Amino acid sequence: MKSPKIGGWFLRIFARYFGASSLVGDFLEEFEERTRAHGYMRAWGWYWGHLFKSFPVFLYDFIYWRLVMLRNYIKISIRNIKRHKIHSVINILGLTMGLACFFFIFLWIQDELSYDRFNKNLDRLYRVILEYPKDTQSAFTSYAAPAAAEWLRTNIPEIEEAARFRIVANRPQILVKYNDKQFFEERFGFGDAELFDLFTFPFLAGDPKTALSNPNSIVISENIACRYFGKEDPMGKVLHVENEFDFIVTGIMKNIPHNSHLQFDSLVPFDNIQSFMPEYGEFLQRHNLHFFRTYIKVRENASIPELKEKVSKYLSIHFDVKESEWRHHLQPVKEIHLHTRGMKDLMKRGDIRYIYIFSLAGLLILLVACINFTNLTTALSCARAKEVGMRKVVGACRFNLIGQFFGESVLSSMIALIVAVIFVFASLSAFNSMTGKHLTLALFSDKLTFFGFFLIALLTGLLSGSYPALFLSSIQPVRILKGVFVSGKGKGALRKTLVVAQFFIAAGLIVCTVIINRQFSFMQNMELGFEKEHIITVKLNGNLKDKFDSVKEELLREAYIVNAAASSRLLTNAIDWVGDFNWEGKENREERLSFSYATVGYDFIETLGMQIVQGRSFSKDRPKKPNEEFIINEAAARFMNLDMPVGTKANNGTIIGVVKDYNYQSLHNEIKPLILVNDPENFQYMYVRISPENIRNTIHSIERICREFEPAFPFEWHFLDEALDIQYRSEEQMGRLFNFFSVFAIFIACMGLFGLSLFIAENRFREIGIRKVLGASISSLIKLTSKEFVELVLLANFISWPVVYFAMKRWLQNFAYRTQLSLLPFLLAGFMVFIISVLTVSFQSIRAATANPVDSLRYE
Amino acid sequence: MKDLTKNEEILLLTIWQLQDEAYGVRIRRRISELIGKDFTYGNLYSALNQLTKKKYVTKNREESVPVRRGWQRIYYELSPDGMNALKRACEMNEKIWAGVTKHVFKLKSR
Repeated sequence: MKSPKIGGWFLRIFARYFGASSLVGDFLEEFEERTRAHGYMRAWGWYWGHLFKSFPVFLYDFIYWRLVMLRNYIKISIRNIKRHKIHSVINILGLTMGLACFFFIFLWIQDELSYDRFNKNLDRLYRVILEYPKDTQSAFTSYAAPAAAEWLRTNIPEIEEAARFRIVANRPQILVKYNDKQFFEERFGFGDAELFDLFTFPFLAGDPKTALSNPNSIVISENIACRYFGKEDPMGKVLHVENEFDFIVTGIMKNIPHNSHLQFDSLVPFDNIQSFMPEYGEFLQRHNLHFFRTYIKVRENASIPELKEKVSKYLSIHFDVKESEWRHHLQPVKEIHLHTRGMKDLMKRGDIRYIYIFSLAGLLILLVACINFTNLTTALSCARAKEVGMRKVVGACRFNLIGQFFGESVLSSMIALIVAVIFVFASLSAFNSMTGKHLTLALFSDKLTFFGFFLIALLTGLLSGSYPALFLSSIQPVRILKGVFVSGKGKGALRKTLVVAQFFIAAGLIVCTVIINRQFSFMQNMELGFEKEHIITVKLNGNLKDKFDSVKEELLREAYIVNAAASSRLLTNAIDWVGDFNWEGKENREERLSFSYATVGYDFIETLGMQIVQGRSFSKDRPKKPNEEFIINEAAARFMNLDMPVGTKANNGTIIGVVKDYNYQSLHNEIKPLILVNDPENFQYMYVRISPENIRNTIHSIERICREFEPAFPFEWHFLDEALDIQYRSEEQMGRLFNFFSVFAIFIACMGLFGLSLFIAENRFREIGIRKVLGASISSLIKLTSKEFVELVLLANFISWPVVYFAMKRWLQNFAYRTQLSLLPFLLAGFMVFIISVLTVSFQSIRAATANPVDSLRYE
Repeated sequence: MKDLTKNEEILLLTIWQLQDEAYGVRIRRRISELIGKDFTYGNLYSALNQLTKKKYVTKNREESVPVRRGWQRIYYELSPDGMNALKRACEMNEKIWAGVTKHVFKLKSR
């Protein structure tokens, strides 16, 4: 006869718990008896019925005693928290801050890693990038020629689809008009309809497949639709672009998520780009105008190495170039955001190294908080030792005690978790504005995030509770209850090590912060080779560009306008193109070097306050054709190795002057050889130098004059120095984040130090009283109590210096122009940490030293 | 020393009465008959567990029976402590009931 299997399984569990294996046998025996008497079915019914009836009793017995113990644990925990109020507050506050800090970093990293992940075909998407020779090594850019997409698609079978994209042709903004409303669009894109097939950009209206089939169609984002049309239906409406072209709205797409590397608000068919860049003529069939992003979708199961091989042959098939020098590569789209370093394109992107740096910083801060907890808990352990001894005597085994102490630390970390999450919620918008992110925290949609938070808090609790749990549970009850147990000297060593570790982290972060800030202010105050203050840049639209000379004349009549000049670019990245340069005597030069070209107008050098070292600048009195006169910078002169470059014949003209080196790119880049040409065709911007007085009125009068000449475009202006600062935004954000984190770290570490010094002062209360009675001075007592900690802090400082030195040295190598790593920031940070820790510790030691000895000795 | 609960009292008494036959199935059946309702194994073993911990009851011997498929039949017996406790319970009961005649209940129920 078979008895129920599952029932037996339950019974065995209970039998083991009650230590009575006969329980299972009893059931079996009675089951057999009943089978014989009443048949199998009734016996079976009895078996289960009886099991269910017994169940509540089993369960009650099972849980009751555990609950009793748990109640006791919680009671003791709460009593402990109450008894040591200050220490508990320090513990929980420290954990809270550590967790909050870590959560911020967690969210930041999560956002950085989420880039482009929303694309369904992500694994099959690649971007075509170009490797080309520059100086002595090769450089990379994310651009390809306009005809590349078509060629790749037809000639390489592995490629399923290819699409081109470029934002705003070669001008910074595009004017879009609807009825009488006008907008400047920076995110106006040109692209193939296949983009919507490659990337997951869902449509709200219109069909992605046909939306761009008409050359005059335009797809706009939800945002733009709201801004232009309000409550009207945008479909079929006509947008007037750059006062020249008309586009009909044929599709509305959802806003592109902020975590897409590819960003645009409106998209028109790619072929339109030719009319927006008339200076390049008919270029759509060219294989050598590298201005355009090209994305491809690979067929499923295609062999990627073979595909890459084929792609890299593309350029050498069409041109007589060395395949090892000029070739295309494929970059997976999922790597674009974080793994594109040193690529020459103007895209905002992340950096995997910052992810590592910040994860490390977050972990370190959390570690500081954990050490706080460990330190304070072990320090207080002598008070707990009696409790532990008592529990052991009454019969607790070591396992129970470990459970209890872990339970306590996890309880603290859970309280900290709740406070930290509330804090993160409350200050998320501040954090966003500091880092330029768009982080949101939706409680219910981010279940995984919250689970992650919970897990982190749990681990923090376990980590910080591990030492106290293992140490306290190992105590021998006999020794404690006899009174032998002292929180001995041996334990002091561990505490000291942990304090040193804490301040090693805190001091290290502070030194990093000081150096980052120094580099930042160094960049802001560096001699750029021109005067960036009091310069206003105005975009030249329509008539302003065509009649620039009259505009300038009109401007210079104003009292406060000092000078004005036109140029093709803002100074933030003032290169028009990079190319070769031929001059007399070049033939016998072996090295190759690419020269940067920039277009500037008359008076440009004077307006920006640059210096002519040799020769003269472009002059109105001797008008020449654009390519007849060149001005080179000192770097170019040095490279060309000419003593007197002025007058040298070059390309089809003459070098007329040498300008002192100036930073025409951000300070990440060195000053490279630069050729200035004067070509009014390319002008896009006007630089106006104004005097420092009356700035507001001056700007008004510039606006008035511009409106007179070109009423069709709105007036757009910026201060040059502000525009330049934007280039260093990512460094600035990183600097600010580091400021924030190091303040957190030092604060948490000091809280721990405060707690420890409080504990020591309490412990040595009587000793201090006796010393005082015997005639010790207050100052010597303060020295006695603070000396130990201050020594530890200084030691931590010294250890952190070499580590920070090497780390920061590597970081500074990102900049072509960097501050010297002197001893000063180290000393400064060390001094800061020293002062902070002395203040923290001395608060307690002064209190202990000035206390009346009567209070401490009265009870002896 | 705490007084026995009614459950424990009945259990001790039953084990004592069953003498050599005091193992799970028998004890349960006997008590069920005594109290007139099903006394479950849950009740039995949680009470036995307590009594064993208090050392009122000890395991006497184990016995293998084929029908139990290797799960031993464990016989229990009272320890001297258990006997004492039972004795005190008995005295207590006599004290409580002293002077009460069954007659009273007849009157009440009428």
